Amino acid sequence: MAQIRIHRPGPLTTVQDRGRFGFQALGIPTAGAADGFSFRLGNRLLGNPDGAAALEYWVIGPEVEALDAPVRLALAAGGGTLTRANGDRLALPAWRTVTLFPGDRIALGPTVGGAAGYACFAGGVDVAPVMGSRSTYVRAKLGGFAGRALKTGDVLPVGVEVEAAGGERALSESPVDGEGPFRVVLGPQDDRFDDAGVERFFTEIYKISPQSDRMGKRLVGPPLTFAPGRGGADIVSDGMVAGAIQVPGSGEPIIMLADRATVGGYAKIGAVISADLPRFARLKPMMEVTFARVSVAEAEAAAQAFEMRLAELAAAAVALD
Amino acid sequence: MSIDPTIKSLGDTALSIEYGEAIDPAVNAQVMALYAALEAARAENALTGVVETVPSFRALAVHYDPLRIDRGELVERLRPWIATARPDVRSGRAWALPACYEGADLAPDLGEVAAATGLTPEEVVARHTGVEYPVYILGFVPGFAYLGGVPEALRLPRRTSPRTAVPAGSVAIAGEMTGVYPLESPGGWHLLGRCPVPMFDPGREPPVFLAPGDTVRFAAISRAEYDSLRTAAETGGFDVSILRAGG
Repeated sequence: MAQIRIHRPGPLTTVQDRGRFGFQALGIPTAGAADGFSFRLGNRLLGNPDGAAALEYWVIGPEVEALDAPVRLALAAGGGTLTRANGDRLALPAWRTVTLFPGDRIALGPTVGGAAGYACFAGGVDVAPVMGSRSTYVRAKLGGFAGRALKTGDVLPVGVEVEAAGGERALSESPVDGEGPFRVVLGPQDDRFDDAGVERFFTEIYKISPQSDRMGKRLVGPPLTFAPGRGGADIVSDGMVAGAIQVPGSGEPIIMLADRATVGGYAKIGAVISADLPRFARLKPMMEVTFARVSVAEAEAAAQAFEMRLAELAAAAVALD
Repeated sequence: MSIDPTIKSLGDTALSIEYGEAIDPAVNAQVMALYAALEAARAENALTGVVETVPSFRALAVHYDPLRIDRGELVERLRPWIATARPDVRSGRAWALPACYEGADLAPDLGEVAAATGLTPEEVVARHTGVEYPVYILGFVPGFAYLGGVPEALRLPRRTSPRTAVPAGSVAIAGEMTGVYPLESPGGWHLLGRCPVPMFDPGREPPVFLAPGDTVRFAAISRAEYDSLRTAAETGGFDVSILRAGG
Protein backbone atom coordinates (compact mmCIF):
# COMPACT_ATOMS: atom_id res chain seq x y z
CA MET A 1 0.00 0.00 0.00
CA ALA A 2 1.39 3.38 -1.02
CA GLN A 3 1.17 6.33 1.33
CA ILE A 4 1.36 10.10 1.05
CA ARG A 5 2.33 12.69 3.65
CA ILE A 6 0.82 16.18 3.76
CA HIS A 7 3.26 19.05 4.26
CA ARG A 8 1.45 22.37 3.83
CA PRO A 9 -2.27 21.55 3.84
CA GLY A 10 -3.74 24.67 2.16
CA PRO A 11 -6.75 26.52 3.62
CA LEU A 12 -9.29 23.69 3.27
CA THR A 13 -8.16 20.33 1.93
CA THR A 14 -10.49 17.39 2.55
CA VAL A 15 -10.98 13.84 1.30
CA GLN A 16 -14.13 13.68 -0.87
CA ASP A 17 -15.87 11.13 -3.06
CA ARG A 18 -19.28 11.42 -4.76
CA GLY A 19 -21.03 11.74 -1.39
CA ARG A 20 -22.76 9.80 1.36
CA PHE A 21 -26.20 8.85 0.09
CA GLY A 22 -28.87 6.87 1.93
CA PHE A 23 -28.63 8.56 5.34
CA GLN A 24 -30.31 11.93 4.79
CA ALA A 25 -33.42 10.59 6.57
CA LEU A 26 -31.20 10.47 9.70
CA GLY A 27 -30.16 14.10 9.16
CA ILE A 28 -26.77 13.21 7.71
CA PRO A 29 -25.74 15.51 4.85
CA THR A 30 -24.32 13.93 1.70
CA ALA A 31 -21.14 16.05 1.53
CA GLY A 32 -19.04 14.87 -1.46
CA ALA A 33 -16.96 16.64 -4.14
CA ALA A 34 -18.32 20.16 -4.70
CA ASP A 35 -17.25 20.29 -8.37
CA GLY A 36 -18.29 16.92 -9.75
CA PHE A 37 -16.97 17.72 -13.22
CA SER A 38 -13.33 18.33 -12.27
CA PHE A 39 -13.39 15.52 -9.70
CA ARG A 40 -14.73 12.93 -12.16
CA LEU A 41 -12.57 14.03 -15.08
CA GLY A 42 -9.46 13.78 -12.87
CA ASN A 43 -10.42 10.24 -11.93
CA ARG A 44 -11.05 9.35 -15.57
CA LEU A 45 -7.57 10.57 -16.57
CA LEU A 46 -6.23 7.84 -14.26
CA GLY A 47 -8.67 5.15 -15.35
CA ASN A 48 -10.25 5.24 -11.87
CA PRO A 49 -13.94 4.67 -11.25
CA ASP A 50 -15.76 8.05 -11.08
CA GLY A 51 -16.28 7.72 -7.33
CA ALA A 52 -12.65 7.14 -6.26
CA ALA A 53 -11.88 9.42 -3.31
CA ALA A 54 -9.65 12.44 -4.02
CA LEU A 55 -8.22 15.42 -2.17
CA GLU A 56 -10.37 18.51 -2.73
CA TYR A 57 -8.72 21.89 -2.16
CA TRP A 58 -9.71 25.52 -2.57
CA VAL A 59 -7.41 27.79 -4.61
CA ILE A 60 -4.19 26.68 -2.88
CA GLY A 61 -3.68 22.97 -2.45
CA PRO A 62 -1.55 20.85 -0.17
CA GLU A 63 2.07 19.84 -0.66
CA VAL A 64 2.06 16.06 -0.99
CA GLU A 65 5.03 13.70 -0.60
CA ALA A 66 5.16 10.08 -1.75
CA LEU A 67 6.52 7.95 1.10
CA ASP A 68 7.50 4.34 0.45
CA ALA A 69 6.12 3.53 -2.99
CA PRO A 70 5.39 5.33 -6.26
CA VAL A 71 2.06 7.19 -6.39
CA ARG A 72 0.32 8.40 -9.53
CA LEU A 73 -1.99 11.38 -9.35
CA ALA A 74 -4.04 13.52 -11.71
CA LEU A 75 -3.91 17.31 -11.40
CA ALA A 76 -7.55 18.30 -11.89
CA ALA A 77 -8.41 22.00 -12.25
CA GLY A 78 -5.05 23.15 -10.85
CA GLY A 79 -1.38 22.59 -11.67
CA GLY A 80 1.50 22.02 -9.30
CA THR A 81 5.19 22.43 -8.61
CA LEU A 82 7.00 19.11 -8.54
CA THR A 83 10.23 18.74 -6.55
CA ARG A 84 11.99 15.44 -7.20
CA ALA A 85 13.90 13.76 -4.36
CA ASN A 86 17.17 14.91 -6.04
CA GLY A 87 16.08 18.56 -5.91
CA ASP A 88 14.99 18.98 -9.56
CA ARG A 89 11.98 21.29 -9.83
CA LEU A 90 9.34 21.35 -12.52
CA ALA A 91 6.15 23.38 -12.92
CA LEU A 92 3.30 21.19 -14.17
CA PRO A 93 0.08 22.46 -15.77
CA ALA A 94 -3.38 21.28 -14.75
CA TRP A 95 -5.12 18.33 -16.40
CA ARG A 96 -2.32 15.81 -16.56
CA THR A 97 -1.12 12.85 -14.54
CA VAL A 98 2.25 12.62 -12.82
CA THR A 99 3.98 9.87 -10.86
CA LEU A 100 5.70 10.68 -7.57
CA PHE A 101 8.51 8.38 -6.48
CA PRO A 102 9.49 8.03 -2.81
CA GLY A 103 10.76 11.39 -1.58
CA ASP A 104 9.22 13.39 -4.45
CA ARG A 105 6.89 16.22 -3.47
CA ILE A 106 4.30 18.23 -5.34
CA ALA A 107 2.84 21.56 -4.19
CA LEU A 108 -0.66 21.69 -5.66
CA GLY A 109 -2.44 24.77 -6.95
CA PRO A 110 -3.34 27.44 -7.55
CA THR A 111 -6.56 26.37 -9.24
CA VAL A 112 -7.33 27.41 -12.80
CA GLY A 113 -10.73 28.66 -13.96
CA GLY A 114 -12.37 28.47 -10.54
CA ALA A 115 -11.77 27.96 -6.83
CA ALA A 116 -12.02 24.16 -6.53
CA GLY A 117 -9.15 21.81 -7.37
CA TYR A 118 -8.64 18.08 -7.01
CA ALA A 119 -5.70 15.74 -6.63
CA CYS A 120 -6.99 12.35 -7.74
CA PHE A 121 -4.87 9.26 -7.04
CA ALA A 122 -4.65 6.01 -9.02
CA GLY A 123 -6.86 3.66 -7.02
CA GLY A 124 -8.22 6.53 -4.91
CA VAL A 125 -7.45 7.84 -1.42
CA ASP A 126 -8.01 4.74 0.69
CA VAL A 127 -9.25 6.06 4.04
CA ALA A 128 -11.86 3.82 5.69
CA PRO A 129 -15.40 4.42 4.39
CA VAL A 130 -17.89 5.63 7.00
CA MET A 131 -21.53 4.86 6.21
CA GLY A 132 -20.60 3.85 2.70
CA SER A 133 -18.54 6.92 1.79
CA ARG A 134 -15.07 8.41 2.21
CA SER A 135 -16.37 11.99 2.01
CA THR A 136 -15.49 14.34 4.85
CA TYR A 137 -18.30 16.22 6.58
CA VAL A 138 -16.26 18.54 8.79
CA ARG A 139 -19.15 19.97 10.84
CA ALA A 140 -19.92 16.53 12.31
CA LYS A 141 -16.30 15.28 12.21
CA LEU A 142 -17.57 12.50 9.94
CA GLY A 143 -15.69 10.42 7.35
CA GLY A 144 -12.60 11.31 5.35
CA PHE A 145 -9.34 11.53 7.33
CA ALA A 146 -10.26 11.75 11.04
CA GLY A 147 -13.40 13.70 10.06
CA ARG A 148 -11.44 16.89 9.48
CA ALA A 149 -9.52 19.03 7.01
CA LEU A 150 -5.96 17.80 6.46
CA LYS A 151 -3.04 19.11 8.52
CA THR A 152 0.72 19.06 8.15
CA GLY A 153 2.11 15.63 8.99
CA ASP A 154 -1.01 13.62 8.12
CA VAL A 155 -0.21 10.33 6.36
CA LEU A 156 -2.90 8.86 4.10
CA PRO A 157 -3.06 5.52 2.27
CA VAL A 158 -3.65 5.69 -1.47
CA GLY A 159 -4.98 2.95 -3.73
CA VAL A 160 -2.91 0.94 -6.14
CA GLU A 161 0.82 0.73 -6.65
CA VAL A 162 1.79 2.01 -10.08
CA GLU A 163 4.32 0.76 -12.57
CA ALA A 164 7.72 2.41 -12.33
CA ALA A 165 7.44 4.96 -15.15
CA GLY A 166 5.56 5.94 -18.25
CA GLY A 167 1.87 5.95 -19.00
CA GLU A 168 1.23 9.59 -18.11
CA ARG A 169 -1.79 11.15 -19.80
CA ALA A 170 -3.00 14.69 -20.32
CA LEU A 171 -5.81 16.72 -21.82
CA SER A 172 -4.59 18.78 -24.76
CA GLU A 173 -6.66 21.82 -23.75
CA SER A 174 -8.50 23.12 -20.70
CA PRO A 175 -11.85 21.37 -20.53
CA VAL A 176 -15.07 23.41 -20.49
CA ASP A 177 -18.31 22.01 -19.12
CA GLY A 178 -20.58 24.92 -19.98
CA GLU A 179 -20.92 28.67 -20.09
CA GLY A 180 -23.49 31.43 -19.90
CA PRO A 181 -26.38 31.79 -17.48
CA PHE A 182 -26.89 29.11 -14.85
CA ARG A 183 -30.02 27.17 -15.70
CA VAL A 184 -32.71 26.87 -13.02
CA VAL A 185 -35.84 24.74 -12.63
CA LEU A 186 -38.50 26.69 -10.69
CA GLY A 187 -39.98 25.44 -7.43
CA PRO A 188 -41.02 24.12 -5.09
CA GLN A 189 -41.91 27.49 -3.47
CA ASP A 190 -41.72 29.86 -6.46
CA ASP A 191 -45.36 30.78 -5.71
CA ARG A 192 -44.18 32.58 -2.54
CA PHE A 193 -42.60 35.30 -4.71
CA ASP A 194 -44.35 38.07 -6.64
CA ASP A 195 -44.02 38.16 -10.43
CA ALA A 196 -41.49 40.99 -10.22
CA GLY A 197 -39.39 38.93 -7.79
CA VAL A 198 -39.25 35.94 -10.11
CA GLU A 199 -38.58 38.19 -13.12
CA ARG A 200 -35.77 39.98 -11.25
CA PHE A 201 -34.00 36.73 -10.45
CA PHE A 202 -33.80 35.85 -14.15
CA THR A 203 -32.77 39.29 -15.43
CA GLU A 204 -30.44 40.83 -12.85
CA ILE A 205 -26.72 40.19 -12.38
CA TYR A 206 -25.70 38.73 -9.02
CA LYS A 207 -22.28 38.49 -7.40
CA ILE A 208 -20.92 35.57 -5.39
CA SER A 209 -20.52 36.74 -1.78
CA PRO A 210 -17.27 36.10 0.09
CA GLN A 211 -19.56 34.48 2.70
CA SER A 212 -19.58 31.25 0.73
CA ASP A 213 -18.29 27.79 1.58
CA ARG A 214 -18.90 24.10 0.87
CA MET A 215 -22.35 24.44 2.44
CA GLY A 216 -23.57 27.14 0.11
CA LYS A 217 -22.91 30.33 -1.80
CA ARG A 218 -24.67 33.57 -0.97
CA LEU A 219 -25.58 35.92 -3.81
CA VAL A 220 -25.27 39.68 -3.56
CA GLY A 221 -27.67 41.66 -5.72
CA PRO A 222 -31.19 43.03 -5.97
CA PRO A 223 -33.30 41.33 -3.27
CA LEU A 224 -36.20 39.16 -4.42
CA THR A 225 -39.64 40.22 -3.27
CA PHE A 226 -42.36 38.04 -1.82
CA ALA A 227 -46.03 38.11 -2.81
CA PRO A 228 -48.27 39.44 -0.02
CA GLY A 229 -50.33 36.82 1.81
CA ARG A 230 -48.41 33.82 0.55
CA GLY A 231 -46.42 33.18 3.72
CA GLY A 232 -43.18 34.98 2.92
CA ALA A 233 -39.73 33.46 3.34
CA ASP A 234 -40.36 31.02 6.19
CA ILE A 235 -41.71 27.56 5.40
CA VAL A 236 -42.14 24.44 7.49
CA SER A 237 -38.79 22.80 6.69
CA ASP A 238 -38.78 20.40 3.76
CA GLY A 239 -36.27 18.48 1.64
CA MET A 240 -33.17 19.91 0.03
CA VAL A 241 -31.00 19.20 -3.00
CA ALA A 242 -27.60 20.47 -4.09
CA GLY A 243 -28.36 23.56 -6.18
CA ALA A 244 -31.50 24.52 -4.24
CA ILE A 245 -31.93 28.31 -4.14
CA GLN A 246 -33.15 29.32 -0.68
CA VAL A 247 -34.34 32.87 -0.15
CA PRO A 248 -34.46 34.13 3.46
CA GLY A 249 -36.42 37.22 4.49
CA SER A 250 -33.63 39.55 3.32
CA GLY A 251 -34.47 38.47 -0.26
CA GLU A 252 -30.86 37.62 -1.08
CA PRO A 253 -30.60 34.07 -2.43
CA ILE A 254 -28.37 31.34 -0.98
CA ILE A 255 -27.51 28.42 -3.27
CA MET A 256 -26.99 25.18 -1.38
CA LEU A 257 -23.98 22.96 -2.18
CA ALA A 258 -22.34 19.70 -1.07
CA ASP A 259 -22.39 20.29 2.71
CA ARG A 260 -26.01 21.55 2.80
CA ALA A 261 -28.28 20.40 5.63
CA THR A 262 -30.80 17.68 4.72
CA VAL A 263 -33.80 20.01 5.17
CA GLY A 264 -34.27 23.75 5.06
CA GLY A 265 -36.76 26.29 6.35
CA TYR A 266 -36.58 29.06 3.75
CA ALA A 267 -38.63 29.30 0.56
CA LYS A 268 -36.86 27.84 -2.46
CA ILE A 269 -37.51 29.75 -5.68
CA GLY A 270 -35.88 26.98 -7.69
CA ALA A 271 -32.77 24.86 -8.10
CA VAL A 272 -29.70 25.13 -10.33
CA ILE A 273 -29.81 22.08 -12.63
CA SER A 274 -27.41 19.19 -12.04
CA ALA A 275 -25.48 19.83 -15.29
CA ASP A 276 -24.62 23.39 -14.24
CA LEU A 277 -23.88 22.73 -10.58
CA PRO A 278 -20.17 21.83 -10.92
CA ARG A 279 -19.33 25.11 -12.65
CA PHE A 280 -21.44 27.02 -10.15
CA ALA A 281 -19.73 25.33 -7.17
CA ARG A 282 -16.28 26.36 -8.36
CA LEU A 283 -17.08 30.09 -8.75
CA LYS A 284 -14.85 32.46 -6.83
CA PRO A 285 -16.14 35.29 -4.61
CA MET A 286 -17.11 38.48 -6.47
CA MET A 287 -17.64 36.64 -9.77
CA GLU A 288 -20.83 37.75 -11.56
CA VAL A 289 -23.62 35.34 -12.47
CA THR A 290 -26.96 35.33 -14.23
CA PHE A 291 -29.72 32.74 -14.23
CA ALA A 292 -32.05 31.35 -16.90
CA ARG A 293 -35.29 29.46 -16.40
CA VAL A 294 -35.57 26.00 -18.02
CA SER A 295 -38.04 23.11 -17.91
CA VAL A 296 -37.29 19.78 -16.23
CA ALA A 297 -37.13 18.19 -19.71
CA GLU A 298 -34.45 20.70 -20.74
CA ALA A 299 -32.56 19.97 -17.52
CA GLU A 300 -32.73 16.24 -18.22
CA ALA A 301 -31.36 16.75 -21.73
CA ALA A 302 -28.59 18.91 -20.25
CA ALA A 303 -27.72 16.13 -17.76
CA GLN A 304 -27.32 13.68 -20.66
CA ALA A 305 -25.23 16.19 -22.62
CA PHE A 306 -23.02 16.73 -19.57
CA GLU A 307 -22.25 13.00 -19.37
CA MET A 308 -21.45 12.90 -23.11
CA ARG A 309 -19.13 15.87 -22.74
CA LEU A 310 -17.30 14.25 -19.82
CA ALA A 311 -16.86 11.02 -21.79
CA GLU A 312 -15.60 12.88 -24.89
CA LEU A 313 -13.07 14.87 -22.88
CA ALA A 314 -11.75 11.78 -21.11
CA ALA A 315 -11.52 9.91 -24.43
CA ALA A 316 -9.54 12.80 -25.98
CA ALA A 317 -6.74 12.56 -23.39
CA VAL A 318 -3.36 11.88 -24.98
CA ALA A 319 -0.34 9.88 -23.81
CA LEU A 320 2.55 12.13 -22.74
CA ASP A 321 5.41 9.74 -23.38
CA MET B 1 -58.91 9.08 5.11
CA SER B 2 -56.01 10.07 2.93
CA ILE B 3 -54.75 13.33 1.49
CA ASP B 4 -53.89 13.72 -2.20
CA PRO B 5 -50.38 15.14 -2.41
CA THR B 6 -49.00 17.80 -4.72
CA ILE B 7 -45.89 16.76 -6.65
CA LYS B 8 -43.30 19.48 -7.18
CA SER B 9 -39.80 19.53 -8.65
CA LEU B 10 -36.64 20.10 -6.64
CA GLY B 11 -34.43 20.74 -9.66
CA ASP B 12 -33.84 17.74 -11.92
CA THR B 13 -32.69 15.38 -9.15
CA ALA B 14 -35.61 15.22 -6.71
CA LEU B 15 -39.37 15.45 -6.37
CA SER B 16 -41.09 16.95 -3.37
CA ILE B 17 -44.32 15.09 -2.65
CA GLU B 18 -46.21 17.52 -0.45
CA TYR B 19 -49.14 16.60 1.80
CA GLY B 20 -49.61 20.03 3.37
CA GLU B 21 -48.02 23.30 4.41
CA ALA B 22 -48.16 23.13 8.20
CA ILE B 23 -46.94 20.90 11.03
CA ASP B 24 -49.88 18.55 11.47
CA PRO B 25 -49.79 14.96 12.77
CA ALA B 26 -52.25 13.79 10.08
CA VAL B 27 -50.11 15.31 7.31
CA ASN B 28 -46.93 13.84 8.78
CA ALA B 29 -48.56 10.42 9.10
CA GLN B 30 -49.21 10.47 5.33
CA VAL B 31 -45.60 11.43 4.66
CA MET B 32 -44.37 8.61 6.88
CA ALA B 33 -46.72 6.10 5.25
CA LEU B 34 -45.37 6.92 1.79
CA TYR B 35 -41.79 6.93 3.13
CA ALA B 36 -42.26 3.43 4.59
CA ALA B 37 -43.88 2.15 1.38
CA LEU B 38 -41.19 3.56 -0.94
CA GLU B 39 -38.31 2.39 1.24
CA ALA B 40 -39.84 -1.11 1.28
CA ALA B 41 -40.12 -0.96 -2.52
CA ARG B 42 -36.52 0.24 -2.81
CA ALA B 43 -35.34 -2.63 -0.61
CA GLU B 44 -36.82 -4.96 -3.23
CA ASN B 45 -35.17 -3.01 -6.07
CA ALA B 46 -38.59 -2.01 -7.37
CA LEU B 47 -37.72 1.68 -7.84
CA THR B 48 -34.89 1.92 -10.35
CA GLY B 49 -33.12 5.25 -10.33
CA VAL B 50 -34.38 6.36 -6.89
CA VAL B 51 -31.33 7.21 -4.77
CA GLU B 52 -33.03 7.79 -1.42
CA THR B 53 -36.21 9.21 0.08
CA VAL B 54 -36.16 11.79 2.87
CA PRO B 55 -39.23 12.58 4.97
CA SER B 56 -39.86 16.02 6.46
CA PHE B 57 -42.83 17.33 8.44
CA ARG B 58 -45.14 17.70 5.48
CA ALA B 59 -43.39 16.33 2.39
CA LEU B 60 -41.34 13.41 1.15
CA ALA B 61 -38.30 14.25 -0.99
CA VAL B 62 -37.63 11.51 -3.54
CA HIS B 63 -34.03 11.87 -4.77
CA TYR B 64 -33.36 10.26 -8.15
CA ASP B 65 -30.71 9.98 -10.83
CA PRO B 66 -31.93 11.82 -13.96
CA LEU B 67 -29.60 9.67 -16.09
CA ARG B 68 -31.51 6.55 -15.05
CA ILE B 69 -35.11 7.76 -14.93
CA ASP B 70 -36.83 10.95 -16.08
CA ARG B 71 -39.34 12.92 -14.06
CA GLY B 72 -42.39 11.83 -16.03
CA GLU B 73 -41.55 8.16 -15.81
CA LEU B 74 -40.75 8.44 -12.09
CA VAL B 75 -44.08 10.12 -11.33
CA GLU B 76 -45.92 7.31 -13.17
CA ARG B 77 -43.89 4.71 -11.25
CA LEU B 78 -44.73 6.38 -7.92
CA ARG B 79 -48.46 6.73 -8.52
CA PRO B 80 -49.51 3.26 -7.30
CA TRP B 81 -47.64 3.77 -4.02
CA ILE B 82 -49.03 7.28 -3.58
CA ALA B 83 -52.54 5.93 -4.18
CA THR B 84 -52.20 3.08 -1.69
CA ALA B 85 -49.96 4.42 1.09
CA ARG B 86 -52.21 4.81 4.13
CA PRO B 87 -51.25 6.04 7.58
CA ASP B 88 -51.14 2.99 9.78
CA VAL B 89 -50.88 2.54 13.49
CA ARG B 90 -47.45 3.97 14.24
CA SER B 91 -44.97 1.23 13.53
CA GLY B 92 -41.97 3.03 15.05
CA ARG B 93 -40.13 2.07 18.20
CA ALA B 94 -40.63 3.66 21.62
CA TRP B 95 -37.57 5.04 23.43
CA ALA B 96 -36.96 6.36 26.95
CA LEU B 97 -34.14 8.90 26.95
CA PRO B 98 -32.45 9.73 30.26
CA ALA B 99 -32.09 13.45 30.95
CA CYS B 100 -30.61 15.31 33.91
CA TYR B 101 -32.53 18.52 34.67
CA GLU B 102 -30.17 19.73 37.42
CA GLY B 103 -27.61 22.48 37.76
CA ALA B 104 -26.73 25.68 35.95
CA ASP B 105 -24.26 23.79 33.72
CA LEU B 106 -26.65 21.06 32.53
CA ALA B 107 -29.96 22.96 32.75
CA PRO B 108 -29.04 26.62 32.14
CA ASP B 109 -32.49 27.80 31.02
CA LEU B 110 -34.71 25.81 33.42
CA GLY B 111 -35.15 28.80 35.73
CA GLU B 112 -35.97 31.21 32.90
CA VAL B 113 -38.45 28.78 31.38
CA ALA B 114 -40.12 28.36 34.77
CA ALA B 115 -40.36 32.14 35.16
CA ALA B 116 -41.70 32.64 31.62
CA THR B 117 -44.34 29.92 31.96
CA GLY B 118 -45.37 30.69 35.54
CA LEU B 119 -44.48 27.17 36.65
CA THR B 120 -41.95 25.92 39.19
CA PRO B 121 -38.81 24.22 37.78
CA GLU B 122 -40.18 20.92 39.14
CA GLU B 123 -43.45 21.46 37.25
CA VAL B 124 -41.54 22.23 34.03
CA VAL B 125 -39.63 18.94 34.37
CA ALA B 126 -42.82 17.02 35.21
CA ARG B 127 -44.54 18.36 32.11
CA HIS B 128 -41.55 17.79 29.84
CA THR B 129 -41.18 14.19 31.01
CA GLY B 130 -44.93 13.56 31.09
CA VAL B 131 -45.49 13.29 27.35
CA GLU B 132 -44.63 10.78 24.62
CA TYR B 133 -43.21 12.74 21.68
CA PRO B 134 -43.34 11.51 18.08
CA VAL B 135 -40.10 11.82 16.05
CA TYR B 136 -41.25 13.93 13.09
CA ILE B 137 -37.99 14.19 11.19
CA LEU B 138 -34.23 14.19 11.60
CA GLY B 139 -32.32 17.14 10.22
CA PHE B 140 -30.45 20.38 10.99
CA VAL B 141 -27.35 18.42 12.02
CA PRO B 142 -26.77 14.63 11.98
CA GLY B 143 -29.04 12.90 14.46
CA PHE B 144 -31.11 15.94 15.50
CA ALA B 145 -34.63 14.56 15.94
CA TYR B 146 -37.49 17.06 15.88
CA LEU B 147 -39.88 15.79 18.56
CA GLY B 148 -43.37 17.28 18.36
CA GLY B 149 -46.18 17.76 20.82
CA VAL B 150 -44.63 19.82 23.62
CA PRO B 151 -47.38 20.55 26.21
CA GLU B 152 -49.09 23.94 25.68
CA ALA B 153 -47.86 25.22 29.05
CA LEU B 154 -44.22 24.88 27.92
CA ARG B 155 -44.52 26.46 24.46
CA LEU B 156 -42.23 29.48 24.19
CA PRO B 157 -40.76 31.33 21.21
CA ARG B 158 -37.09 30.78 20.53
CA ARG B 159 -34.56 32.78 22.52
CA THR B 160 -34.27 36.30 21.11
CA SER B 161 -30.50 35.92 20.96
CA PRO B 162 -29.39 32.43 19.88
CA ARG B 163 -26.33 30.91 21.55
CA THR B 164 -23.31 30.48 19.33
CA ALA B 165 -22.48 27.15 20.98
CA VAL B 166 -25.05 24.86 22.58
CA PRO B 167 -23.34 21.85 24.26
CA ALA B 168 -23.84 18.41 22.73
CA GLY B 169 -26.53 16.48 24.60
CA SER B 170 -28.58 19.56 25.51
CA VAL B 171 -32.28 18.77 25.89
CA ALA B 172 -34.14 21.79 24.56
CA ILE B 173 -37.58 23.17 23.74
CA ALA B 174 -38.90 25.77 21.27
CA GLY B 175 -42.58 26.23 20.39
CA GLU B 176 -44.22 22.82 20.03
CA MET B 177 -40.87 21.10 19.42
CA THR B 178 -38.34 19.49 21.71
CA GLY B 179 -35.09 17.72 20.91
CA VAL B 180 -31.54 16.79 21.92
CA TYR B 181 -28.57 18.55 20.30
CA PRO B 182 -26.31 15.78 18.92
CA LEU B 183 -23.26 18.01 18.43
CA GLU B 184 -22.10 21.31 19.81
CA SER B 185 -23.80 23.76 17.45
CA PRO B 186 -25.37 27.21 17.40
CA GLY B 187 -28.94 27.21 18.64
CA GLY B 188 -31.83 29.33 19.87
CA TRP B 189 -33.83 26.75 21.82
CA HIS B 190 -34.25 26.78 25.62
CA LEU B 191 -31.96 24.31 27.39
CA LEU B 192 -33.83 22.33 30.06
CA GLY B 193 -31.34 19.56 30.75
CA ARG B 194 -28.71 17.21 29.36
CA CYS B 195 -28.93 13.70 27.92
CA PRO B 196 -25.81 11.56 28.52
CA VAL B 197 -26.36 9.30 25.50
CA PRO B 198 -24.83 10.56 22.21
CA MET B 199 -27.54 11.09 19.58
CA PHE B 200 -24.90 10.76 16.86
CA ASP B 201 -21.78 8.61 17.05
CA PRO B 202 -20.13 7.64 13.74
CA GLY B 203 -18.27 4.83 15.53
CA ARG B 204 -21.50 3.22 16.79
CA GLU B 205 -23.75 0.90 14.82
CA PRO B 206 -26.15 2.51 14.12
CA PRO B 207 -24.65 6.02 14.32
CA VAL B 208 -28.15 7.49 14.78
CA PHE B 209 -30.65 5.32 16.65
CA LEU B 210 -33.79 7.48 16.54
CA ALA B 211 -35.77 7.27 13.31
CA PRO B 212 -38.77 9.13 11.93
CA GLY B 213 -41.92 7.45 13.24
CA ASP B 214 -40.37 6.46 16.60
CA THR B 215 -41.62 7.93 19.88
CA VAL B 216 -39.54 9.35 22.73
CA ARG B 217 -40.28 9.92 26.40
CA PHE B 218 -37.73 11.66 28.64
CA ALA B 219 -36.87 10.13 32.02
CA ALA B 220 -35.40 12.43 34.69
CA ILE B 221 -32.15 11.16 36.19
CA SER B 222 -29.91 12.44 38.99
CA ARG B 223 -26.52 14.02 38.43
CA ALA B 224 -24.85 10.83 39.76
CA GLU B 225 -26.76 8.73 37.21
CA TYR B 226 -25.90 11.25 34.51
CA ASP B 227 -22.19 11.06 35.34
CA SER B 228 -22.16 7.28 35.34
CA LEU B 229 -24.07 7.00 32.03
CA ARG B 230 -21.79 9.65 30.53
CA THR B 231 -18.72 7.61 31.53
CA ALA B 232 -20.25 4.46 30.05
CA ALA B 233 -21.07 6.29 26.81
CA GLU B 234 -17.57 7.76 26.55
CA THR B 235 -15.87 4.40 27.09
CA GLY B 236 -18.12 2.69 24.56
CA GLY B 237 -19.73 0.50 27.23
CA PHE B 238 -23.27 1.62 26.57
CA ASP B 239 -25.81 -0.26 24.51
CA VAL B 240 -28.57 2.06 23.23
CA SER B 241 -30.98 -0.87 22.92
CA ILE B 242 -31.57 -0.68 26.70
CA LEU B 243 -33.32 2.64 26.02
CA ARG B 244 -36.14 0.84 24.20
CA ALA B 245 -39.24 1.38 26.31
CA GLY B 246 -41.29 -1.68 27.20
CA GLY B 247 -39.02 -3.85 25.08
